[in-house]
Amino acid sequence: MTSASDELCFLTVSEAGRRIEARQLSPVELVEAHIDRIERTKPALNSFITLLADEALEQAREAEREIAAGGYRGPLHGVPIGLKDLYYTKGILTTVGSKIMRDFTPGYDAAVTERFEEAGAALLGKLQMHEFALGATSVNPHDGPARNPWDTSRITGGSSGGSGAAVASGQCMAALGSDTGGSIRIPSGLCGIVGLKPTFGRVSRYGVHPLSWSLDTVGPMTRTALDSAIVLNALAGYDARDPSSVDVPVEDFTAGIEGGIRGLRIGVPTDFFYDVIDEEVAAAMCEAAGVLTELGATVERCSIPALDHALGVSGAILVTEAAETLFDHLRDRPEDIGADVRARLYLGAMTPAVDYIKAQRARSAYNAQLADAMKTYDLLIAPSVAVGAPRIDQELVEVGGRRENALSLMSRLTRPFNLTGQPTISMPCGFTSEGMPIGMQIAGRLWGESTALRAAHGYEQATEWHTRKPGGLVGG
Amino acid sequence: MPARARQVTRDSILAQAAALGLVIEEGEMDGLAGRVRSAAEDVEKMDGLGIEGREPAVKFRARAERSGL
Repeated sequence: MTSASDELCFLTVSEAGRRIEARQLSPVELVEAHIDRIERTKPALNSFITLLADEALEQAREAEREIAAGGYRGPLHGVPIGLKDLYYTKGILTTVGSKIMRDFTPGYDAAVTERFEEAGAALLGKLQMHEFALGATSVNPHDGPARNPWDTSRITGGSSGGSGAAVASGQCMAALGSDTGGSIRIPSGLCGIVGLKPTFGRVSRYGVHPLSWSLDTVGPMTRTALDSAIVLNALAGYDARDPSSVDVPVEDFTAGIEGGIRGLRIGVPTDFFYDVIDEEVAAAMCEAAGVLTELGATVERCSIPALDHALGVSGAILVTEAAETLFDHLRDRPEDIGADVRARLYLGAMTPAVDYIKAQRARSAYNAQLADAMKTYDLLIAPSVAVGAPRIDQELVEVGGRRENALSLMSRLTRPFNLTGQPTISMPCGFTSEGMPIGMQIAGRLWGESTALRAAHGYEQATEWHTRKPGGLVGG
Repeated sequence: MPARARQVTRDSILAQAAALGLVIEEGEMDGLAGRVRSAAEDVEKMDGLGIEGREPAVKFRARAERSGL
């Protein structure tokens, strides 16, 4: 393969879709380029659990036939994508990153798998993840660690680490992650891509292996905000099969994306987010706030004291719900669960019901404070992860002169927005001096994905962080 | 350390685990006890959020509406 085929792998979804619609680009050529790139980079990244090369090529051929016959379906038609390995795919292995479900083949598709099929996308494979999605590193004891394309000795973050690595490295044009405590936004931040956690209830969770029923959220991971909007267009909508799905109008998320940032009121919460943070990450956030101001937004510091309780409240809820979901595995096969995940599940199992219910009541009080803030601000911005990606074997990270547990640090800044269920994007806003990506979160009002995407797109037009590609890999 | 957290011991955890049918390896007990104490402390701090009169965040309104009751 040539560098020309690698260039195809770094097209945006929007550009590839435009060329496919104009019949300037063949879906078969596009999928072949990606399969070739996966074959060359897979050993370095360990991002796929199951590769579906033949199936994806057949889907691409079908797309090509349909388009030639005048049946163009839309911007995902013939576009190669990947799914985190917890989305059910009929007849295709779905391991949830676990040893226990190593041979599990679902008998039906997840709602989002169906939506991608309807959109005509080509499924390249199932992506690596933290075991059972209960962890933020994607260092998986059964499959090995997913590796960061910017430096393969470092973690991708998790739990959707394979999705982060695959999109950042040009192995697929878009992927799905899932986000319970930051599992879309952490790997997006650490791998330098755009990850969108939509409003809770916006995208169906039917056929998604559950972790925490009151927090799990499904969303896209792409290289631009516009691409996230395109994927969200395909996924969003009410589904009666998912009890948490909400029947609200679904707009075209790409429609107003060029609308600019001028006039938006953006809050920068100073409580909590900057208590434990690397200086370079804080500086990048300061610079990003300046860019947003130059683009015409009103950016001001704000105080939301409830944020100091975010970790305690979300911790009590997440691990308890996870322990209930995975209880049979924990009781019957604890030796087949990785030590870190097992420890979290035991903690959840030991949480008394009174504490869980108290945490859900505390969540109401917490959400009320955030809702008040969102009456004043259209958006909040905050760092995605407090540090650049740590090394795979690194247990402690030096931050502000203190040594912090690397694992705990990963989800520290993302969990606050899972409690509220508000839509939140992570997007690139800089790099550390060691060359690792820095992510910024943009949180919108409930059902306000369009405004958050508009701000993210506007920021991208004024900066070049999202255009950088990881070097060092074959053809990178 | 708050009273609740102080009452968390290896024996209390083992008793709770036994009631749930869980077998926890000896080597995992110390770490778990520390995490359970820390979680109990976090729960006590939640009073600072002003939760009096608050209902749990998770409601079943949508489901109830759909049931037609």
